[in-house]
Amino acid sequence: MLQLILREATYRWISFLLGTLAVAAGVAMCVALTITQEANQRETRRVTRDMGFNLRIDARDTDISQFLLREYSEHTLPEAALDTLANLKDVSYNHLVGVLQRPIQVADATAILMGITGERSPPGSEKSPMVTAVEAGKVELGHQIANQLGAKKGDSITVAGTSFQVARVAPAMGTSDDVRIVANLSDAQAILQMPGQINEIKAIDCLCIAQTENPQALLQAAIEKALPDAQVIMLGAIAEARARQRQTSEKYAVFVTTAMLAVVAIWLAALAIVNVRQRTSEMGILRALGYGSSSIGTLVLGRAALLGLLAGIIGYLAGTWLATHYGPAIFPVTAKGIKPMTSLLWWSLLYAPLFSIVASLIPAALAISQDPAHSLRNQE
Amino acid sequence: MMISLRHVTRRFRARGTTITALDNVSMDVERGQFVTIHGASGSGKSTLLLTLGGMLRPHEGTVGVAETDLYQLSRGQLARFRAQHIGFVFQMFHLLPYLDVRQNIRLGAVARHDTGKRTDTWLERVGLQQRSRHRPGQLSVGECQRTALARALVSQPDLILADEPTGNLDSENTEEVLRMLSEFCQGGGTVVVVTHGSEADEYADRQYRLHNGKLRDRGMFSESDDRETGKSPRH
Repeated sequence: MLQLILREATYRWISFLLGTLAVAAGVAMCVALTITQEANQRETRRVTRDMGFNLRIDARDTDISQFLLREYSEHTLPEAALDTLANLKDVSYNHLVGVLQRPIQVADATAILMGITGERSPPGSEKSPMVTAVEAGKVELGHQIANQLGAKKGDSITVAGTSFQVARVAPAMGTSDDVRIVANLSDAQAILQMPGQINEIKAIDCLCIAQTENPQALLQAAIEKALPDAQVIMLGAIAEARARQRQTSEKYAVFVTTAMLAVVAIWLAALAIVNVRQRTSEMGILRALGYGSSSIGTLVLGRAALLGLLAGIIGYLAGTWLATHYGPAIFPVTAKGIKPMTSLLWWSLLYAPLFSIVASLIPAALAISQDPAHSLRNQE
Repeated sequence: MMISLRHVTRRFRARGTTITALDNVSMDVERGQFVTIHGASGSGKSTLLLTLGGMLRPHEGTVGVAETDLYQLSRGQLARFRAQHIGFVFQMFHLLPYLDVRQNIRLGAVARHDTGKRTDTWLERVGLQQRSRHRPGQLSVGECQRTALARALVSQPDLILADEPTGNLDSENTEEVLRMLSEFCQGGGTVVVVTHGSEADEYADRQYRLHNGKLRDRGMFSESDDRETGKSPRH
């Protein structure tokens, strides 16, 4: 039977080639999308991460109206709350940073002093940090406050009687960050005389939940068990942008893949039907020789499986080449992460023949059900 | 009894009208007999042959081959029965174009789950050893028909059903094909040939004529029957 399939495939090679190329195109699309989707997700995460923290955890007593006006809470949490949250398992947030901030007068200017910790991650979810802790004895200045103080990198400034070296002057952001003096948390606690206190934990939530769920309520419920004195404030615009970006990206990938596979399936089925019609006489004589329905079906489906197997290999190679060749230009930030995925070869070798067989089920049924007498009857 | 046809009727619908291709046909053929069935185009010859071979279910009547009521069998049983007992030869050969001569002949043996050891014997008997690697497109019509005949005979069937087996052949190849069919009969096989012509008559033990779906012993119809339909036999 295999010999029959192979010889027929080589004899009608154009039809076989067209079918193979159609399935290979589908496989290549899936492989390329899968490889680049990884990069796309990394890139999306990076872009949305750069939009800043989307989650703020404050003391439960915080007056939200005042918090929104001042951009900080007048109530505090113990610094240990940071580790409590960081040690929770199965959580959706990451990049946890403890913050203590208060307005402060420096020379003739009013600034916001912000002490920050280094980043913490939940166990098993360690990420490369997006915020690094400021060294003790150093500060980073917002663009506006640096101008007001006439300070630049390397200069020394005095804050509440303590001298600090300017480690960095940030570019103008057009936000309250421009009037911030960022220091190590311990230094800020010392200046503000609030040892062991923070007034906020900032974090990024992945928002990897269904569109219909309320992320804030879910988080509040998760955090409340470990930290009953805290409340969750979600930065709606950033959170929504992040969620929408991720959902849109996933939806688009599903749409493109489904549409492509549907087109390939229709094309393959059409080719298989043409092939079956070309072989009406052949099927008839095989019936006359005593070949049963299973043999006829095997001829059609075996051909489809062979076609799918070849297409799986070709598609994997083509898709990998497309992704590794063009992917880095599309996703420059995470270009190094775009690599061939060997596991996709095994999936291609499994699913491409399976897909071809499923697409050829109707043609196989036609081949089995067609009347052999019709093709064998001479014109009388 | 090799063949026992009882009151077989087969109809076709074409363009809104019903055509009775076989009309209450009955026929008995003994083992080892060479039978010819004559008839003009459209007389129902091929329909009769395919019905005999279990390829076309009659609307009425029974078809017995080798003491088996064919149309009582399931599709799978019928396929196995054909592989074991029946060989077909067609005017248009119906060779698989992508297989060479040897592989086409072997196809008949494989259907019967034989190893195909007899393939080389039959290649030699039909004189195609030198052509064994050639495909049908590289053969003459005579060689194609000899290949088709070898394919039918390689499975050692009890019955050969031949539909115009010499219709496309020159006299030399016609003689060769009919001689081989006759030898098959002498070896105990049964042959039914449907044909326009009279080439096979000298080998026939019995001759029938099919006219407007009715089967009669040859001679019961006059030539005027053919003239009425405007379809005269070639000979």
